[in-house]
Amino acid sequence: MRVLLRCLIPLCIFFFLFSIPSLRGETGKRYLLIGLIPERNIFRQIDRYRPLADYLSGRLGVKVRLTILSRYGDIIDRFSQRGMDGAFFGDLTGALAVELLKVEPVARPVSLDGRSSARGVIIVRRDSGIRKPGDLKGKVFAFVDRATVSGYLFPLYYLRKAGFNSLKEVFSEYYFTGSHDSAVFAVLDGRADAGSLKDTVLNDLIRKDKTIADELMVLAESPPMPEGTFCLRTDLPPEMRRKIRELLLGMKKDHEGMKVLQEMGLSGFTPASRNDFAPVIRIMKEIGIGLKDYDYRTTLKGR
Amino acid sequence: MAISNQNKVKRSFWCLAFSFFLLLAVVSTPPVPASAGDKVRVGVVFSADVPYYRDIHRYFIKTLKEKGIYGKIDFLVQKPHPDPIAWSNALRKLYVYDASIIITYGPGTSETVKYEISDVPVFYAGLYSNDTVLENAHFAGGVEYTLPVTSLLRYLRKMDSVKRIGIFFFPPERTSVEEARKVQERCIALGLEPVMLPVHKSSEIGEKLRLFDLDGLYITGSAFMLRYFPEYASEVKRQKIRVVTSSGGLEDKAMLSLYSDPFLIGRELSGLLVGYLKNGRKGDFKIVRRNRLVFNYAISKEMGIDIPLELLTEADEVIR
Repeated sequence: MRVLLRCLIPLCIFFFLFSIPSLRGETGKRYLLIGLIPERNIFRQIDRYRPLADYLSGRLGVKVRLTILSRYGDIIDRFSQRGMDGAFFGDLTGALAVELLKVEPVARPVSLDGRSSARGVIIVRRDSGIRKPGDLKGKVFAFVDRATVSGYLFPLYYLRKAGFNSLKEVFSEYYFTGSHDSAVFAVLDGRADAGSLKDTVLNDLIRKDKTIADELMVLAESPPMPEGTFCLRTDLPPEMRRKIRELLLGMKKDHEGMKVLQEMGLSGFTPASRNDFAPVIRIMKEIGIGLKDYDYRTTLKGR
Repeated sequence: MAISNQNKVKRSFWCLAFSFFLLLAVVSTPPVPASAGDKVRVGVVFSADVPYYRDIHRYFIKTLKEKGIYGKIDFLVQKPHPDPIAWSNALRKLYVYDASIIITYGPGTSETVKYEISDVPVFYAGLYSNDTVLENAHFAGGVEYTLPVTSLLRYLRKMDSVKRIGIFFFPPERTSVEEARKVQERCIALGLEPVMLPVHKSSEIGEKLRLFDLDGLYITGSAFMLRYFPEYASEVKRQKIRVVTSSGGLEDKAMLSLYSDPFLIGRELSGLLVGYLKNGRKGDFKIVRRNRLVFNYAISKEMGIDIPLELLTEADEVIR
């Protein structure tokens, strides 16, 4: 009997370990790795998402780790390379990820005012005298990153509509700030004459410092674009994907989840789908850019 | 004897004729322009001999060389002490030396031009622009810069425990006064406590630093402050006062500098001068709206003050 037990116990443990769908079996690691794009200052961005990672870790029973990329386009290049299981994508990176990485859109964060999208805005200083596209001629422009609609493609679209076919034709200089809030500070400080970014970051900064609204004005605004879409890789166990989706969508009904949402300045998450990226595809089509052949890699040294 | 008299008459005739032609030649010659040889004589006056104005001048010369104009100009450069009498004397020297064009750097000399009686065209550069600070009628052209003072205060406020801000300015430099007033107004809007600190002589900088208990210091774009503030930099460090400035050239003394790009100022100025020399074009007044943000991390470290990392990421340059 003892001999039988000695053989059976290890055998049971062996079967138990290999029969449960585990991340270890899938990826060779014991945690979920979630990627973030540097839409805000990277330190602020990590601080903002940390409570969510802790919440998911507690509920999933799997450690959730965050990794932030230094550039927007990197999330496409490094997603598989770094073994990410999911990521919060921006407007254009989301569309690219769905197309190139075949990830599955899961949920989108909803802001306190009930929005789950953001508009691209072109901002100028009120005292700059810039009031129309033609006034931008010979000026310096601060873009966010080539892999964003609000921070790059929208101003491109705006200029194209005004009859300008290339950036060099309009600006004396242009450069990429790398984050949305940096684009605001570049214009505020007079380091750039105009800049583009998403309105949610601008509104957030104005909420914290009302004087920003006295100094800046919005020159143009894009249609709403999906913001911060959370996507998961499709080869994650379906059970895990389902659980994560349910957790995110149900956060507002849960006391602890509500607390995390408040910390993040959100009211909840809403379901996401491939169709959310239709406005992105539309704007790209208008400029004559294809999703598959778009060079989204940014050289920060634009000046 | 008769022959000798005839010779005398002949000699007198030729002398008279020669004198007549000489007089004719002198009278018919056009007035000599104030130039050395065929070069145009351009007088340059710095409001103080400080790195920022030297940079503007360097880029101005560089652009003139690129445009092939430099060789046609004879420069006379004056770098007086930042003092109204010295500015006036420097300008008058250039008038005496028949400068046909005068260029002024900084608010001091540019303001002084208005009190001189002369029709020599003057171009100014490197002044803080507050709408129409200088009456343009006095000048043939000029390059000013705008600077969002709120940005500097906003960054200053982000540093730990900054509440009371001293604003240094030099009253004879009107643009410095205008800037100080604007800073005062913005401080109040941002919930900071401004302390206006006018100085008339360099020793007053030290006195005021000792007299007022300040958390932060704003140095306006003043030639006087640029020249004398560096002498009190160690006192500021000792008192752990965070210094911000709207002027270039103090990057190694101030914790934060946001200033207009001297290269662009120099380039615009050269454009104005070339336009004047080629077509006699006057009345162009440019405003440069391109700034550089420099953080001096070494100073904050030395003073034991933490600068939020996110501020460092915004800077065009971080001094370590």
